[in-house]
Amino acid sequence: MRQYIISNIHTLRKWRQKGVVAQFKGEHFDADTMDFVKIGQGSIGGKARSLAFMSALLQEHPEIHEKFLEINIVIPKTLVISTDGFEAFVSQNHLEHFVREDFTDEEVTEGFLKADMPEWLVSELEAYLSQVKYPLSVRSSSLLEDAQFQPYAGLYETYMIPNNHPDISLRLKHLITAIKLVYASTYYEGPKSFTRSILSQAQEEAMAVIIQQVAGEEYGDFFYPAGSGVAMSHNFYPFSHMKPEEGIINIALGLGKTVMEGEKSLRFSPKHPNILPQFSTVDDILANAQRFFYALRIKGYSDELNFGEYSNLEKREVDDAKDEFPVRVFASTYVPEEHRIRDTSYIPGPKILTFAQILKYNSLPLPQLLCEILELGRKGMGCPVEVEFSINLSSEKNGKSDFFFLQMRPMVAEEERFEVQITQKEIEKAFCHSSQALGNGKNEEMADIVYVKPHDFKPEATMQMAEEVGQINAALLKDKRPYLLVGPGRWGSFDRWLGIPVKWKNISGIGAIIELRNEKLRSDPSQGSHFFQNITSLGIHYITVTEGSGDYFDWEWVASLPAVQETTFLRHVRLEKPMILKIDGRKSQCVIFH
Amino acid sequence: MSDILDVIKDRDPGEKEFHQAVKEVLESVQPVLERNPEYRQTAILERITEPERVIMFRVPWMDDQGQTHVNRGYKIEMNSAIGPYKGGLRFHPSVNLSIVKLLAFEQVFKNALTTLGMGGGSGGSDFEPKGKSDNEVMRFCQSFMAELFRHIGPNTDITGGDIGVGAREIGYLFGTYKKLRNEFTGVLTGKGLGWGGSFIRPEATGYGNVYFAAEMLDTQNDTLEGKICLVSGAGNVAQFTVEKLIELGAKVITLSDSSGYIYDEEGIDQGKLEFVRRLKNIRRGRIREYIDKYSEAVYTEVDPSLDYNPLWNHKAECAFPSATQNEINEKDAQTLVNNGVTLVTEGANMPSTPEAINIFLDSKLLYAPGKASNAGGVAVSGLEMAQNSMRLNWSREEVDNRFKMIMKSIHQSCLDAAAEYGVPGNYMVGANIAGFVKVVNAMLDQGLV
Repeated sequence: MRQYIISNIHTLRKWRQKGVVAQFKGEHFDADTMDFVKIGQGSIGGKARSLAFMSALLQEHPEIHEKFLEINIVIPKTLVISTDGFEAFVSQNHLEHFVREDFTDEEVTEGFLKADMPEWLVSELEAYLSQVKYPLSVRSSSLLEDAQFQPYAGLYETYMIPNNHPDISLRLKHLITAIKLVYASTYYEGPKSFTRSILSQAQEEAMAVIIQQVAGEEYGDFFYPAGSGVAMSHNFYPFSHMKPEEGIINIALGLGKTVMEGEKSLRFSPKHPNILPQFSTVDDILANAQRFFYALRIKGYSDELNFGEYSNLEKREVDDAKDEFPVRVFASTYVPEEHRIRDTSYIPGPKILTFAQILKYNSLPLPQLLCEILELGRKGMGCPVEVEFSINLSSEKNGKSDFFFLQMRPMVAEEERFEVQITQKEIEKAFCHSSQALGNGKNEEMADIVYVKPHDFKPEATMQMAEEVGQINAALLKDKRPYLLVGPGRWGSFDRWLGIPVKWKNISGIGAIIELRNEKLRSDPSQGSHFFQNITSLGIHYITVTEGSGDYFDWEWVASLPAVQETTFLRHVRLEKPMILKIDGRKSQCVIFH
Repeated sequence: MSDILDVIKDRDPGEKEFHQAVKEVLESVQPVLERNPEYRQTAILERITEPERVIMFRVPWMDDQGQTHVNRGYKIEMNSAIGPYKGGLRFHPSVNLSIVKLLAFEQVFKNALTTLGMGGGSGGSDFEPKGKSDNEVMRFCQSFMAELFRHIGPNTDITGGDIGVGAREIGYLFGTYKKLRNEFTGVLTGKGLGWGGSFIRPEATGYGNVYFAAEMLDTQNDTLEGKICLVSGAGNVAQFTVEKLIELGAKVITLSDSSGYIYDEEGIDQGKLEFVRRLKNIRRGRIREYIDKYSEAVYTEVDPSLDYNPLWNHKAECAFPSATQNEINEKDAQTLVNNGVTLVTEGANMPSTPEAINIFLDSKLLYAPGKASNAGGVAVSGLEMAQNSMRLNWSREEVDNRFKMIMKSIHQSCLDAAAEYGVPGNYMVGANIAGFVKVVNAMLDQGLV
């Protein structure tokens, strides 16, 4: 009875703390019940505020917890050092001069690492670490982010520390180093020029720091979550039954760096998790499945850690972790003798990350949960959102898995990426207009156009055209000049009669691609399906122009430009200034003008 | 010959792909047509270019949202003069009658060349498996087979996979056939190993290529033992080519992928090949990583500005292009000849340009075109059918031995046909003619049917 009462009181205390940002006081801190605390009285920054908002949102919607009883939906335990900490650190060590532009990132880092952390902050952190012994991530919560302009990929670094050493002084040293590095990143060139671009002048920025439990489990010498990813309310590359507003998910094994850095991860629609155009054939799966993942080393690390490359993370091969639980669950096995992939990892053969157990067999209702989370976020913020998350899998039969809500931000924050407006004036001056375009945003980096000369096109010569495209591509790639590729039919088609059968290597330097449907080749539009993985992961704009409908490409104008190069079937022209390509992903409309 | 082409064009004006295939085949067998006037008298060209049976059917199916879709299914039974129809099924939006006829027509001669008793056919649908769920693909396959089952059978028409039809689709198709016919027979090839499939399927093209090369050398009382070999590619075909070459005592010094090639003067042994297998099949890395492990090797990055492929510019005796189309151009071919290469066998599809082939033929080196040397895939399908008929599952070694015998037969029939038509040692002509002659003679023997 006594145990029962204690347990209930404990649960109640924990529940009452949810959604609350409590003030950290060393002597009263209880790491077990206090999920979200802050040090200092200053601002906690945009990112931390969004965490607090998410925490409150989850508290206000208990139905989501009730609906997914097999999943703990939580925010990782969080400590925020408010802007007081940064201000005290900078002023105490007289670091303000680093705001000037004539310092390299390395010089800033060196200056910040040499500086001393204020005593009061050190003692608070020591009190914190006396109770917290799990791996931590340390990242910025910038005030600038309040403006909601910053892309999620982030301008500032995130550092991870194992925080499991028996010597607390060493753990404290690691934490302080990570905080100093985050502080230093405020004065790096990237953030400074970004500040200039939105505020027209550089200014001193105060920064809060989020110290957060790393979502994950220990597997051998490493620590990582089973999966991490980003969910977005809007899908700019809808395929098959997908609708743009149903959203899109990118998920990868291990820590979220794989998804953030745009490395190979799995993209799926939470409403249609069975539809994976990039995984259509065995060869597609072998080519597109995730091969590497990031994990935090928690055993056998040096006392100094490695804050340089990958911020203490290690890039591991999926195959090296084939006996670890997440790979066991998420991987399928390739059977070379049958050229088949079987959705189990418990047979011999190379392991291929397909996430089939979740996407096909619903062993964890992650797609459904992500639909709900996106809807919750959309309602909470009043606009489409991006959500970063991680998951941990329970290895017990009826155990609960964990869903960690890491960050949420409005998609409109990235105005250029989301809210593209195409005006009537732009349509009138455009040399190309399409009502069937994939992707979203604005591209002002292309000044080169490579097109198949319409009068010289012969369906029987598409293989030769593919070779010519490859040669021009190689030269433009070398010069780092992304280009607009224009030609009839399905680019990359298996069938040389339906389009130009290029391979990805033949067109790897493209900035955007136009497939024309006209009298000569009226094949069904491919919508980039042959290169789906590359197009979606690189955000390449794929435009279908059906000539004779409302769509058009101005052949006369392009023919009037002087040729840089002309081959049997192709013509390469260059504009003096880059053209402007705009796609409004919500309407699938595209214009290109100069 | 132009008469028959005109007839075909007039009769089916929209089938440009089929017209092209007929033109290419007829051009390649021109010497046979000139020498055998009876073919003309019995309208053999008119007959061989007209399918024995064309089946088109409706394939209705329901997607996961409950919406109904209708695709069109095709089955072309082109020619059964030397055995039951045999060919692949293709599921791809581009599939139409012209393409399925083209595939069936080419298959007649490919199958005949294997020296096995297989006629030619093909089938497919304009269904796009890309972006479909497993359940949608299954429902489509079930609907497709619900019509096809009445036209096929182990002694009538046997089908295998092609683009869009892999192990998954073969499984669904076979399951439906079995249920509708209430019989377990070898009506489909490419089955799982546990339910009627055959060993040596992945190895077929690579092994077959080497067996063919060994046969060519044997005509000159020579072997692969100690031969220095250039192999391009690092995929399935290249890996099994290297494996068999090592087994037969040859020394392989190159491998490549789309980013570059490695040159290992000491030779790629079994251990190094295992590393390449792991690198390409499991880690899916680049071939340049080979030199991280074996520092004695040299890696050369692809230079798109070059008009030749430097891989072919190493002193060697044999070359096995196993990477991609057109990887040997005129300049490369001349380099190979100048460097003393005496044998080129093609593992890839059309790796040599027409100009390169002319150089090989002019220089009288041993040149095996892909249509002969990489016929291994079709041959293993034939062996799968044989095992199914006998209700036996041969061991890997047994399949390999029989496969080797088939490659030997293919080689011999190419050699014989070339000699008979006055160009001894010309495997190109031999491969074009051997299959054709076998089919048309069978047709003559069987009368007007």
